[in-house]
Amino acid sequence: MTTIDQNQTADPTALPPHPREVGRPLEGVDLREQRPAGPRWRPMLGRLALRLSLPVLLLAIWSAVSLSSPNIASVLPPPYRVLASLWHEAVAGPLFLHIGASLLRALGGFALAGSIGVALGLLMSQSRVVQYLLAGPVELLRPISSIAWIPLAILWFGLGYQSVVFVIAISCIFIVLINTLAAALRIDPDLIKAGLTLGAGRWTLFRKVIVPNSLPGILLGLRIAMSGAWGGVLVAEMIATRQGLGYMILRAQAAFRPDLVIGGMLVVGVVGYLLNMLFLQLQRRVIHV
Amino acid sequence: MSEPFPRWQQLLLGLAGIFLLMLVPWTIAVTMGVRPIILPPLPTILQTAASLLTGGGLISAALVSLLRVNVGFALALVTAVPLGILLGRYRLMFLAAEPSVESFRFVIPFAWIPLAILWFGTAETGKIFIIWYAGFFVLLLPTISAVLSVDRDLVKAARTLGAGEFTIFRKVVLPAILPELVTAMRVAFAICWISILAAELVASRAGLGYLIADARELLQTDVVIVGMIVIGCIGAFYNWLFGWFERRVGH
Repeated sequence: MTTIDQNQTADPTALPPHPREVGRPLEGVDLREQRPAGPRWRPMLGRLALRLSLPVLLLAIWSAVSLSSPNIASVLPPPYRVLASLWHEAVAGPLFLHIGASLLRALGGFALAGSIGVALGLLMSQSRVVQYLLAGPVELLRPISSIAWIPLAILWFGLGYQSVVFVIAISCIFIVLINTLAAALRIDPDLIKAGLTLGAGRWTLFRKVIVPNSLPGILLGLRIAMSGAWGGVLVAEMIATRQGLGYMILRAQAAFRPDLVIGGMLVVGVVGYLLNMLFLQLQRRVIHV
Repeated sequence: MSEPFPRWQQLLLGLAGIFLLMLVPWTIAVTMGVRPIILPPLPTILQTAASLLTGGGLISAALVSLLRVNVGFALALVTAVPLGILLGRYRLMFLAAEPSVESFRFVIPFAWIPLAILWFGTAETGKIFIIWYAGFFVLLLPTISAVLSVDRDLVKAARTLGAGEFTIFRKVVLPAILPELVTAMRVAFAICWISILAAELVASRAGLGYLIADARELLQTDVVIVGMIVIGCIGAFYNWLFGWFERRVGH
């Protein structure tokens, strides 16, 4: 039991901590060290009950508040109504169409920005002149939050998916670029010297030393960018399109359907969670090989 | 790779990059006849900036956004940090709260915008709520992990020497978590800043987000770009401010 926990905390990928990621190390915290003598299932059952207590309590409060008066229920429908509307929207409505549209745009912008960001980051790591030349525009544009690009994107590309993809790409590119550059610059100089001593040319060095050793940093940047892309797509869709989860939620608000608004929020959370899980799996697999 | 260049050469190259990669292509595009709706000429941008600054529209919009983001951020700070300290100190509470905290983390602040409109209309409360939510979890999780990583022996030593819970908190826990807390504040503020812009873009009659959304509808690209520059400057200023604070409390 304990060995599994140790494996989880001693992450072989040794990712540098990022404020968004600090949730992860907490998973290793464990009460089992001080397990009293007795049957095994009892503390585990207690633990499960403890962990379920707050979600259950929150659901109970939500239901109680919402059922206390029809006025409140009209703006905060009870949980089962939210689930029922979501089910109806999935079976008879365009829910999956919206999810698909959002995912496609988020992944499109992410792929675009990911490839450009990694390429530029690696390029910048190879030459000081290129690095400082590009640093000017990057440092100038980076503080402008992705959301602020939405109106300009609409002016440039009109209402539609192109604007959304552009905004997503902008929101991802700097995170990817900076993480790539930082990872490539952090590589142990001795490794590079060893490569050079062994007769590696510039290209071989780049391919065999720089790229593989920057990979953990690159993947971390991509994962943070991915969650940013998922957030950006939501806002961009609220403003610039007639499809996608962002549009669906805002539309539900305009139609005074709080059940569907909350249902949409749940879907956003679940899809975001799945994307994160998927990426973590990918990350583990790529780095282990 | 070669040694880093001296600072002034880095700066010079950066300025050259801005000039060569942004200003020159921009000017070429404008002279080749790109419509001002796509790219307004650079002098127009400067003129617009000057008239917006003196006309007051820009400054009042910036003040509205700044007020909202600061109030929401302050609320997030005073709610998340004490809760984080509690959850970090008491394991049972932490274990009970963790699943809920983890799941709320995935419901992005932007997703709350429509619900906030439904609940609060376009009133200030809705915007403050969104900023509070955006900052809350980004502050809570680092606070918990910082408290968890406080050296147990230090706490035990303080207790042995007769310190009460409050003294332990003030003299041991708080100084130990401060560096991580300030870093979390920097990240949280950036997220709050993005969130208020999003909320203002979607539903507001005031603020920088509204300013650029409104200018977009009127096809005033120059105003949009000036607004973006101001948004970037404010973001950069707060990043610098918290960064400075970080270096002061850090090691």
